[in-house]
Amino acid sequence: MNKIFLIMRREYLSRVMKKTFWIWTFILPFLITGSISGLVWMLKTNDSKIYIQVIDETNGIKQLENTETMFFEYGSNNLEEAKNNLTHAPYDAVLHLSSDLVDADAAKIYLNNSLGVFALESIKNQLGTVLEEYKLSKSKIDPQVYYSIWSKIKLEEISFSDEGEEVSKAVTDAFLGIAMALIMFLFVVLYSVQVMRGIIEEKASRIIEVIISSVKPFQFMSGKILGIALVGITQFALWTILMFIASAIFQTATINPAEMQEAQKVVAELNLAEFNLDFGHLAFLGCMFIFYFLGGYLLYSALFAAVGSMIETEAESQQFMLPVMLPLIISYLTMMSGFENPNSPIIKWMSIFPLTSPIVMMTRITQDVPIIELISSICLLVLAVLGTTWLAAKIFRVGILMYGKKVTYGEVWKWIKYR
Amino acid sequence: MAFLEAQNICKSYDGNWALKNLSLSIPENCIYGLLGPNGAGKTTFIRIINRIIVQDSGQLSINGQSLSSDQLGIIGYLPEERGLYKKSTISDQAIYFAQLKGVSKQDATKRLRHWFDKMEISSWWNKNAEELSKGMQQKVQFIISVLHQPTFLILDEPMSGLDPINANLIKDEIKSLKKEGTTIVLSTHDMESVEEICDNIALINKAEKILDGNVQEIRKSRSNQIFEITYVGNPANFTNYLGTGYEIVSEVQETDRNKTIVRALNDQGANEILKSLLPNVVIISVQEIIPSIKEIFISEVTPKSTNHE
Repeated sequence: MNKIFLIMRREYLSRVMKKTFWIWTFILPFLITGSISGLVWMLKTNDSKIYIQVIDETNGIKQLENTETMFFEYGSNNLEEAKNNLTHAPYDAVLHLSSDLVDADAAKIYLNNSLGVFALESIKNQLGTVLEEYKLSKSKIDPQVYYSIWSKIKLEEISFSDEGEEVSKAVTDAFLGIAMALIMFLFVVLYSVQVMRGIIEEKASRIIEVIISSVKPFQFMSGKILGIALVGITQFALWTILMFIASAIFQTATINPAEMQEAQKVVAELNLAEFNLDFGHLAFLGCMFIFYFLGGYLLYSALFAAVGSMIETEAESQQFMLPVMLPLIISYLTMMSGFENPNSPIIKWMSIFPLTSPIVMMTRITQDVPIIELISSICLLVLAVLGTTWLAAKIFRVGILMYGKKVTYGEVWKWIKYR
Repeated sequence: MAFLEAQNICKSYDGNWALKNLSLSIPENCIYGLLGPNGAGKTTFIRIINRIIVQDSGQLSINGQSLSSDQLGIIGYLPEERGLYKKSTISDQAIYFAQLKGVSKQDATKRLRHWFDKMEISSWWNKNAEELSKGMQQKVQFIISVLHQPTFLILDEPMSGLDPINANLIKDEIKSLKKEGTTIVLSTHDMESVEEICDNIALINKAEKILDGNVQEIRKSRSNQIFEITYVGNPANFTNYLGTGYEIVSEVQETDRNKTIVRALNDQGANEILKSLLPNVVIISVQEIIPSIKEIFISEVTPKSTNHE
C-alpha cells in the first residue's frame, strides 16, 4: 500500500510540478471563453454593408426594406445583364424573384461575395414575411386574425416519482446530464491516454525494469492510474473555478446590460427557475456522477495501460487504440439521443454495458432510470473494472519487458495465458 | 550453507526453453559470475530472482527461505535494460527508488550524498538525467542499485559502455561491497573482469547450465599440463635434455632468450621437467599455462561439430 502511495505521489507531483501543466490549466479556460466571446463580438460588430440588386419579376410584391447593413436596390429587370455584370458591379449579390415566386416559395440569389449565414437568413426571413403578407391580403385575411390563430405548442412533461408525486421534468435536468456526460468523456479520454503515454515513456527510457524489481507490476499500474486521476481532478477543479472567473471577465467586457436582460429572458424560458433544487436529488446525481466517473476512468485507464505496455512508441499505438477508443466514441455520439430518447432500447443497453455506461448513463440519470437498470449497470461496471484491471495487469507485466518485437493480438492472448 | 539456492528452475515461452532445469547455489559473500552467450537465459534467471517473472517450476531460496516478494528489499538490481526519468533530477529519482525499496527519505538522502561524494559527482545533484551522458547515467544507476544497502546485489553488464577509468571505479566498488559482506551476482561478457573479480561462475548455454564452480578450480581442472619455459641457450640442446615424456608445442627465439611451450604427456608437474633440465640448461622461468575463462567459454559454447581445433 505504501508503495502504491509512493508511486501515486511521484506520478502526481511530477505532472503537477511541470510548467506545461500550469500553462494549460490557466490558458485553456481563458482560451475557450475568450474565443467564444470573441466570436460573439465579431458577429455583433460585423458592420460591413451589403448591397443587393433585386430583379423583381413578380407582380406587386412589397419591396424588401433596407436594414442598417443591408441595402436592396430595385429598378433593373434584366437578369442576364445583372448576372453578367455581377463581378464588376458594386453589388454583392443579385436576388432574383421570378414570376412564380408566390407558387414556388423559392427564389435564387447569385453571389459575388459570400454573404454569410446570418445575412442569408435575414434575407430569407424578410422575404418570407413579405410573401406571407402578400398571400394574406390576396386571400383577404386580416394579418391580426392570422397571427392570433397561428399556434405554437409548449408541451410540459410530467412524470411520477416513486411516491406517486408529480414531477416536472425540467429541461435543465437534461442539460445537466449532457454536461456531466461531456465532462466524463473528456476526463476519460484526456487522462487515460496520459496513463498510456507515461507507460510508453517509461518503457522507452528503459526505466521500467528497475521499478518492477522493487514493486509488483500491479502496484505500479495502480499507483500510476491513481496519481494521474488526482492530476485530472486537480486540473478539472482549477478549470471550473477559472472558467467562472474567465467568463465573468469576458461577459462584462463584451455583453451590454440590454443584451444581458435578453439572455435572462431566454434562460427563464428554459424553465431554469423551475429547476428542481431538491437536495436529495442533487446528492443522488452527485454520487452517481462520482461513481461513474471513477468507474469509467479506472476501466479505460487500465485498458490504456495495457496498450501502453505493449508498444514502444506512440506511433505504434494506433492499431490497439482503436478498439479501446471505439466504445468511447460511440457513447459520445449517442449522447444527444440519450437526452432525447432516454428510454430507447439502444440507449438502455448502452447505459448498462460497462464500456459505454459511464457516459451514456449520465445522459439518462437526471431523468428517471428504472432501479433495476441502474443496479445492473452499477454492478456490471464494478465487475468490469475488476476484470479489466486483472486482465490489463496480466498483459502489462509481460508487455513492459518486451522490446523490439512487433506485438500482435495473438501474442497478447498468449501473454494473458502465461502464469 | 549457500546464500541462494536454485533447484530445477524451468521457464518456457511458447514451447521454447528459456531455462531448463537450472540448479545452482551461490555461496554467501562472494562475487558470482553468470556467463553465457546472448539469449542463453541469464536475464531470465535474474528476472526470476527479482520476481519480475515467475518460473514454471523449480525452487528458489535465499538463506534457506523460499523466495518471495517480501525479500525484494534485500536485493539490489542493475538491469541490462536500464534508464532514468529524463526530466527529473537524478537525486530525486535516486531517492524515490530507494524509498520504493523501503528506505526512509532522510536515510536515502544521507546515503546518496555519501555516494555522490565518494564517486566525485556531487555537482550533478540537481541535474536532470537528460543532461548526463550515457556513461554518467550508468554511474548514477549503479548508485541507485546499492543505495538501499542490499545484502544481495545483481548487476547485469555493469561495466558495458564505460571508459576504462570508470569501469575500474565500478570494479573497485564491487570489490569493496563484497568486503562489506554483500553477495554479488555479476552477469557480463567481459571475461577479464570475471577472472579479476569473480570467485565463482556458472556458464549457461541454450537455457542449461553447462559448468559451474570456483573460478581458479575450473581453470586448473582445464589445464592440459602445458608449461612455458624461458631459458638461455641452444634450442637443440634444450630438446635433448627435455626427455621423452614431453612434446614441444611451440618455440619462440628472442635475442637473449628462448621461449618454448611444452605439453607433459603424462601427469608430470613442473618439478619433473626441471629435474632433467636444471643441470644442463640456464632456466629463467617456468610457468604453467592455465586456460583463461575466455578460452573455456569459447570452447564450451562453440558447437562441437564445428570445433575442429
